[in-house]
Amino acid sequence: MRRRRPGPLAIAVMSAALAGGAVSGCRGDAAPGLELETRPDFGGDFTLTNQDGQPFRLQDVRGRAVLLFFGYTSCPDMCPATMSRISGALSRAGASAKDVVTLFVSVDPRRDTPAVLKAYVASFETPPIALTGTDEQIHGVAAAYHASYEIVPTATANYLVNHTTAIFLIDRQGRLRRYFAYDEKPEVLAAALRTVLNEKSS
Amino acid sequence: MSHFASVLLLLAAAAPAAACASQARRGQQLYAERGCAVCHGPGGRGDGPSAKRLDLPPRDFANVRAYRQGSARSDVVASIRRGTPGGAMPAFRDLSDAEADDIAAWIVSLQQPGSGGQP
Repeated sequence: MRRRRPGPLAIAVMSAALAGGAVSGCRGDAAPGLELETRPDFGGDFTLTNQDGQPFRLQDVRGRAVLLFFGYTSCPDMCPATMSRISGALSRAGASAKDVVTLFVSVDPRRDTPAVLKAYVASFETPPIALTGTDEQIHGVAAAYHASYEIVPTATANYLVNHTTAIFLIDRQGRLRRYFAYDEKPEVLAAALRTVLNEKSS
Repeated sequence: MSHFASVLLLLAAAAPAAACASQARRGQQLYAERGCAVCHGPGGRGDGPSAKRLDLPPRDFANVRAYRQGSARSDVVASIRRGTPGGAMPAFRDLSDAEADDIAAWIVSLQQPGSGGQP
């Protein structure tokens, strides 16, 4: 399913795979109402490059809850609104940076260089980790999370990028637990975060 | 007028200003927390790191003539909550009316009524 907001700037895509069904299944020590994702091909570790130009692996933040989001720094609509929701959720959950990390995976690696990402994250009181990589690397991560993106030329040099707008919640053990619509209420995100944070990390 | 009455009047006059300042401080905090500076810049001058890659870059909040949707506090609240149609400002519906009003209080506090320049 593709979702497009009316208007020339609004671009949002939920991939067919994501919209195709709710995350379901239950095993192990998952908390009630926040089941584990059981599809073996959904989520998983990856390696990209952070805003400091250093390699970043998802397993580097093992032990912390993760909110992962695909976007790009010059996104005029969905990304700012989504980052605001995530920031609001972190604040409501009372989560400190040592417990929760937000990963902003750029789907615009051509423009979103580490230097650009570094300036971007500095604009947040609780900065996300912003990630970029080669086209192949970004494609790989997007595919693992059943996300999609495509460049949309415009009449100006400021092209847009259609992209999946879901927010992915990964627990302290690196397991994909759930995804949320970009416009999910911060209170709902905060409640899910608290659930994950109250679980043992191993 | 007695000295006591004068003091009371002064306090009464100062109270709304203090409330406004308090709101503006909360608004500044929210502005930083929610990443508004990405586009609008840390001081609201329209010079955030993503601003130059927007077809309709954000305006300088100090310039009262630059506001596309009106520079009154209620106008700013409306822009935050509903976005700016045809512009690059999305609707921040996750913010409550009170939170949007706090941010608007801070933005309005940046206005320099005598400011000119290009809108």
